Amino acid sequence: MSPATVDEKKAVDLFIKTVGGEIAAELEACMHCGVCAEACQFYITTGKPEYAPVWKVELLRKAYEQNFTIIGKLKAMLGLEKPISKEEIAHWSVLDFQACTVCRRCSLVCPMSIDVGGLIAKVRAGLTAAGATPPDLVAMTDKQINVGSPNGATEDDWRAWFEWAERERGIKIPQDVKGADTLVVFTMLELGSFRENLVYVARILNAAGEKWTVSLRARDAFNMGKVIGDKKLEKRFAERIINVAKELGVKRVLITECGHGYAALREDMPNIYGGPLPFEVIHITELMNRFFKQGRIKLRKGVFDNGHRITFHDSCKIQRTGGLFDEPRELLKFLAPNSFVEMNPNRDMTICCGGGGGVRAIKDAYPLRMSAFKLKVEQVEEAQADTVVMTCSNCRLQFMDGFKHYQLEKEAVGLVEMVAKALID
Amino acid sequence: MNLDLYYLSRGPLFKFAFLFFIFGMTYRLLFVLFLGWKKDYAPARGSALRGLMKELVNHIWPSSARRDVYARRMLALLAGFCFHVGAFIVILFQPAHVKVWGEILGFEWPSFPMGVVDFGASVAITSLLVIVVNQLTHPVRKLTTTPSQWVNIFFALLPLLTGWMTYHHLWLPYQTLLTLHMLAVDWLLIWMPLSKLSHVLYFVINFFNHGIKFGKMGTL
Repeated sequence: MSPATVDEKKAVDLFIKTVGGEIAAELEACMHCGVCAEACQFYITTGKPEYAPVWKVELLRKAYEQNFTIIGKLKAMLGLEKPISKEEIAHWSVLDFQACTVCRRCSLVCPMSIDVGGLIAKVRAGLTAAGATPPDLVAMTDKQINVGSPNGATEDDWRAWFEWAERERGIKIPQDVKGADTLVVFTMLELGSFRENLVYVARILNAAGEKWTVSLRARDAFNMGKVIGDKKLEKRFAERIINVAKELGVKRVLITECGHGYAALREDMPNIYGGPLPFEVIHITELMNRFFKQGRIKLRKGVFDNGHRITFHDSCKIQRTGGLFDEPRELLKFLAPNSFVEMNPNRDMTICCGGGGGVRAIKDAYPLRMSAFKLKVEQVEEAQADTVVMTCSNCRLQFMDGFKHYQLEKEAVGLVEMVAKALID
Repeated sequence: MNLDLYYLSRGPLFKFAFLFFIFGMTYRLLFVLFLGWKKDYAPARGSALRGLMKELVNHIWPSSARRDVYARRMLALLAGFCFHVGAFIVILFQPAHVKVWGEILGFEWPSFPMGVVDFGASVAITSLLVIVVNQLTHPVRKLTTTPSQWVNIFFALLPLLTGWMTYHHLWLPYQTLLTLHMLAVDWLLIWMPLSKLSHVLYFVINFFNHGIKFGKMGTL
């Protein structure tokens, strides 16, 4: 985008408004040691210093120093430091939106305990306020505002998906059931590429005897507001789900194989509202595990022990910052006890797929995300895995793109599919 | 050097510098604390206490995945660690320093033998020089290092170097070295609250915040 079109003052205003004790303490503590870079797949695979997480935070650091510190204000007054420019906004838009998935791996290695990834998310918010959101993400956001889904899928498209399940798979998808226990929300990313997930999730819920519903008015958990850092839009999109959940009186909202949609509703919305939501927000991974432990679904043990090695990819929003490490593993170790192997590193220190945070949606970022994916290829090959299982559809699509790019004959599979296929009726 | 300057640097100037340090660091701490803290309303998956414990463990003996990350910057990390340990040995356990602490606090503690203190000072100075080389050569450090950081390193090095030279009676008369050392200490005490050398305060805040936040998320 052209620097001429951005309003750098809006970025600075947002930075100033956002700074509180937590961000100030983090910015003050940063000694620029650069250790965070050694956890970042974009820096590691390219060696480009600008991809160091600490550098991605630079605009926020500058705004803080110039507006909150005595020395910073003095330096600005004496002309020793210039205010943030339009060119810098345009430049950092590339760094923070194309070379960062906000995976927060950097946050876990900082010697000064700084949530570096969290700071990058704040920079993204400032860039968006300045009008420096990448055009591909702007287009998706506009579609989500106007049509309901970021890929342009309309209410009719979603209705057609639900009708397809009934017509072609014999599974009725209950809609707008008042008094249902669970409102199920998919994403267009998931059903657009993995339409069978609709059937898999329905079979699992039916097998568990769950009283569930979907709603065309709360059809898409994808949240472009969260991706681009626009809190007002994040709230607007999440409220499409929250309002229907309240109206139907459900006990929980179930997010299927999506990471950021789950995080937007579960972590962000209570803080945007200033209080807890009146229902539980649960990910399909956790619910499947819960059903299994409660005996509400019965699975065939070892059904996926077929001579192939199966590993698990920890997604950033569901595992690293969602904490759901054991739930998928307990299921996989039951379904494939002799085939399951761990990748290394895993769990909280998992390496991001490289496609999250909107990166996969930005066409210009293709070379970067394929570069980042090299680390996943190394992990998969070290584990000698044939199949990689995950609980996020965006990760799955990135893996499929990556396996194709690197010409690897490997499978990327959703856990939902495995559990559904292992059900004992 | 003029004896009056020595007594000035050891007496009223030191008192001023120390008070400036105390008030300055208090101001910086309160400034940040009063910027506002938001309560976290997201449901907790894990526990804040467990997060804090894991945060402590990760700082003392990091997990193997973290060690793999740190291994890529082992020299710089070790230099940082050794600098701090060496500096603290000197500041807290050098015999003359223990006497100064005794005057300030009203009680003393055992000092270390000068051989140990001298070793600590040597390690601290060498480590700082390693950090300087790292900042000049590592591509990320070259990009992110600001002019202020060079200034901070210089002001942190001065008291260590002048103290070490004083102990070894190097190159200049003893009285001159001692005065220079005192002036360097006085200046450092004034400079610390004005610069990133105050980072120790914020590390403590971040440690608790990070441990609690990621503990509640279920990450730690």
